[in-house]
Amino acid sequence: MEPQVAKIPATRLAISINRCFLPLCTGFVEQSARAFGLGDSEALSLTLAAEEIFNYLADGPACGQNLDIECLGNTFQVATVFTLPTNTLNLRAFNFTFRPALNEDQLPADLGLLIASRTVDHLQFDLKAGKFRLTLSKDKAYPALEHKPLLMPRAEPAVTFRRPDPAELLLLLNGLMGLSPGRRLPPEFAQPGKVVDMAGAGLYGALIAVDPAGRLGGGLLWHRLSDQMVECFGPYLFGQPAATARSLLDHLLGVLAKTPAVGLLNRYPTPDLPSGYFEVLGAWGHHARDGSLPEIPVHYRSLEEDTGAVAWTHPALRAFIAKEYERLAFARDLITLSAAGERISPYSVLTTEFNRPAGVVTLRPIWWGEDAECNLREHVRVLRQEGLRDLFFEQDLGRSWQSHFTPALLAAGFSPMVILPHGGHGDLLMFEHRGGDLP
Amino acid sequence: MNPVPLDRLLPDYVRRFEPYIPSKPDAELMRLYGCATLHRLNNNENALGPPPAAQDIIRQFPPPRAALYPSGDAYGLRQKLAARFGKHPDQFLVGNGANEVISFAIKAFCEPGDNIVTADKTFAVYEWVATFSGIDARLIPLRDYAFDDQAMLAAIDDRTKILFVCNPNNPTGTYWERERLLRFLDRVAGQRIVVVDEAYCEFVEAEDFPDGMNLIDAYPNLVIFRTFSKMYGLAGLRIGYLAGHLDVVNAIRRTCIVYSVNTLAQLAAEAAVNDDAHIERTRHLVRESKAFLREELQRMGLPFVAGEGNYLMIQLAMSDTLAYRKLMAQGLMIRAMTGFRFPNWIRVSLTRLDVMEAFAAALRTLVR
Repeated sequence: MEPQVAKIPATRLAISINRCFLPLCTGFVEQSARAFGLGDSEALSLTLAAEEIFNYLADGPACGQNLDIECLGNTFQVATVFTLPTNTLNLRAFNFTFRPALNEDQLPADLGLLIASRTVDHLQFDLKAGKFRLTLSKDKAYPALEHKPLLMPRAEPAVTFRRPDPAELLLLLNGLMGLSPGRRLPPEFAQPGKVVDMAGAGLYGALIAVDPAGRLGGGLLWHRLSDQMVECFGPYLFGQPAATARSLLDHLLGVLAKTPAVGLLNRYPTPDLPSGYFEVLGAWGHHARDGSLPEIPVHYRSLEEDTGAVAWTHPALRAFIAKEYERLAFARDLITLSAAGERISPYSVLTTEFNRPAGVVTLRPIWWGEDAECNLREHVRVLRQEGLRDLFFEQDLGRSWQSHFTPALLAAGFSPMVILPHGGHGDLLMFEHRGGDLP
Repeated sequence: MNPVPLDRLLPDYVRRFEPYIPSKPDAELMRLYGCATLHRLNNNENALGPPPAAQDIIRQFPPPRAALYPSGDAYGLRQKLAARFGKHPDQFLVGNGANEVISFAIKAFCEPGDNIVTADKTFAVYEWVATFSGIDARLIPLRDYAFDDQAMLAAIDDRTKILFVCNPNNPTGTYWERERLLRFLDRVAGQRIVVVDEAYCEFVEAEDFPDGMNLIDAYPNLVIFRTFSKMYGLAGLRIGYLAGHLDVVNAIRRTCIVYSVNTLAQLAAEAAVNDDAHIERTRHLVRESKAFLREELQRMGLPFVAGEGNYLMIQLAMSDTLAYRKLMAQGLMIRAMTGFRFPNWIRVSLTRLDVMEAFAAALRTLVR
């Protein structure tokens, strides 16, 4: 069985968006954050971000609208979710780079959404069922891992594969630092206490391999990216034979069997990843701090017999997409997008997901418009200025209109890198931005 | 329009259950994968089809009869089954495929909080029906590809109502010989229902394979499942049955849905049930195909498990789901086994020799 996601305690506030309610909003967020265990500094950061968002909404696009604010208290993080109906909103205002007409000369650094993003760890927009949701999250403070190798007791070949208790998980995470230096690990692993808390909340799963004496021989972690997609990390071995890695993966695949997951992703492959378990979808570049751009292979495994799907493509990428599907042996009805002079909205809308600790930003389209190229270029410019290195754009090939963005993406310096089967409504085509003034 | 509040209406155990999506029709798959032919080697169907007498029934079925309800409890078929197995007709319940009788049994004996005990790598429907009914399915790992009798017994507690044993096991083809089954039944001591699913029993040629029908009198807690979908080639008509002690069957009858088995299925099954020559022809075909494929797999250096039943399992040095897609592109549909908790294994139905040859040729393109 997969870990059960624990019920998250929450507080809720329903108000109208009006400046006079600002103290109510900030007071609510701050008190909730403290009640859920954030420290002074983190609670203040989240409150400041909420203040920026509320002011931003009150000054422009949503003034007078009803607003629901919800604070969710995970053991490792507090999230504040702003939800408002979209029916009377100008969605354009939710472009990260939007400036109200009166402030055309405003500097990018003054943009309210940008300021909010700086004080939190994650900021995410999404649009679902006619509601716009903006989520700010601030992680609790955890001590960083000491970067000195932990001497793991030498284990005999593992015979048992099971869920770790918190102490064993902590041992595994500490042990990872003792593996070959420079190994690429998820940023969260630098704070093992946070991962342990996330596992306790059911957001991470973990398996360990232990020898007959109970010594730790290796492990594997995973978490859900969506209902359909699971990402795994590892397998990590401490002097174990290759069979241990296969057994860890077999156990994970057994856990995922008969669940909604249709795909297993591994973006942090290790030297111990056994052959024959994953397909390489492609690779993307990771802008390292030293200026290098190592290629990171993206490993994937279908968990089910693929039943085919429809994929939409712009003519400019048809050859690329068809070739990738053929290489990966995915049967798809590839439909080329056509235009017949129909009316086009003047404005496009993009949502932005910030993962500050990882230096990663993912753009997703929510509305197609004529200004797509300018809009994309502006997003890139601001995000690069903001010091964010890895910029991605997700195009859902199952949604026809998203393919309209293709020429604008190519012109703005994005390149198609990887097709992630069933990564969204349909398959996801991941674009990466390369070049520009990197931080 | 307000959305239906499904979160509130659905029980938690249903909401968390992942629906099974069956494969698309052949024509759609052939178009999608761009193949001119498609051989289904994924469902362990009988390449010979139904026995000749059943085929005659199907051919001659008068269309106006489709307007009439069938026998609500498969009266005629139960008479035939009773005569064949030396039992009372009321010791049989007929369902719309064996899947339906699994549901009858679980609904009759289990309520939320109860549990069933079975294997982790076996026919999935016991686990499915239990799970979406709010019943805990305790899944015991196979030992040497076979059901682990000791571990199953150890998993029993006060809330255990049914133990499911698939004999021979789908997908491994392993089986409990008579002595082992008797020891297991003795240990259960009549305190729980023991279901032995014999969906593939007619394919078994091993001398020591137990015939569950002969054990019902001695073990009244024993329920046997059988199907007309495999050996008798009636998978498309959906008909299967269970047999047991009269008291137990009468208890299960309370949750049995009457009129669920159509007239044509009942008549075809009646015509099929005594055709032993059909069984012998099918066994010959399976024997020949199994021998051919074993030799081919040994030549390719691929590990395999070839037990009883009209299927075998092959271990690949690649993802089984990738192999599925690559074989589909060559017009061969196999069963990828990740969902059975056998990652990197595929299960292949044993069918006509020319199809086995085509499969072996396609497999060679994957492993070279």
